[in-house]
Amino acid sequence: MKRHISSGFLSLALVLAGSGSLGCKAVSTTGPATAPTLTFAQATNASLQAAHKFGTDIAASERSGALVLTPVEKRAFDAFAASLNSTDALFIAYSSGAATQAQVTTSLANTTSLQTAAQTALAGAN
Amino acid sequence: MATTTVTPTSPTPNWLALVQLFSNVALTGLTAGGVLPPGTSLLVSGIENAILPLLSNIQSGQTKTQDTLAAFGAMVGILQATSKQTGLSAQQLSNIQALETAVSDAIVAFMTGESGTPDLATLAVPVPAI
Repeated sequence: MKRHISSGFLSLALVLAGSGSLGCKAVSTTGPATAPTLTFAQATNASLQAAHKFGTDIAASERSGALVLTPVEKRAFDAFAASLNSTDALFIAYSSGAATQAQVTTSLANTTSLQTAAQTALAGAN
Repeated sequence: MATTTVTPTSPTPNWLALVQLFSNVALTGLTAGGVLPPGTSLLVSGIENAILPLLSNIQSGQTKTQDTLAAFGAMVGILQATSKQTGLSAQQLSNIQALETAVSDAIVAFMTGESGTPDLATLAVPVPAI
């Protein structure tokens, strides 16, 4: 089932890529036939949900032994998880009116710095 | 026009880059170890290069669902192509499959998360450290 989902999305991605910036054909990109622009809340929720699922899957796989990471990779993942958890909490507060979009944006910027540092360490160690 | 664009500080580029990095780590190790034959390495590089302009679009603030899904899909493609190689150790194959599962699940979560009421209960459960 997972394979079917993966293959399906791969096909979709290739079709989309072929009709966009990666295409070799002279496909017209003018006109309004684009997907609706997401609101800040929609886009942030979608990204956080995806990141959250990715993170929980990786952590579960590492715990079960299906995925083996080096100590440096673990530190990079932990930095990612910590910053993600922080941003998740702020987004939840934002959803109830207890935090502003600016605060969420600031948290995301901090996440970016943390992850950039972690990624640099990870790349240098492999 | 009352549309709201996604700011460049969207979480999308951060975690997509991390996924890509984990994939690269797996591929780098396999190539250096001679597991991936030259032809396949070129194929994988070609697919990987296809992701870069998509990530560039996302990081410049031009975030579109198509870009994100295309990047996800290309990553899955890289992992699937790699997992087809012979000569992989059981742990190498297991690592690749774990990454592929995580990315595939993330695709579904991303698409579900775009519509409807945000599932805040899921986000309230912290991602554990490892």
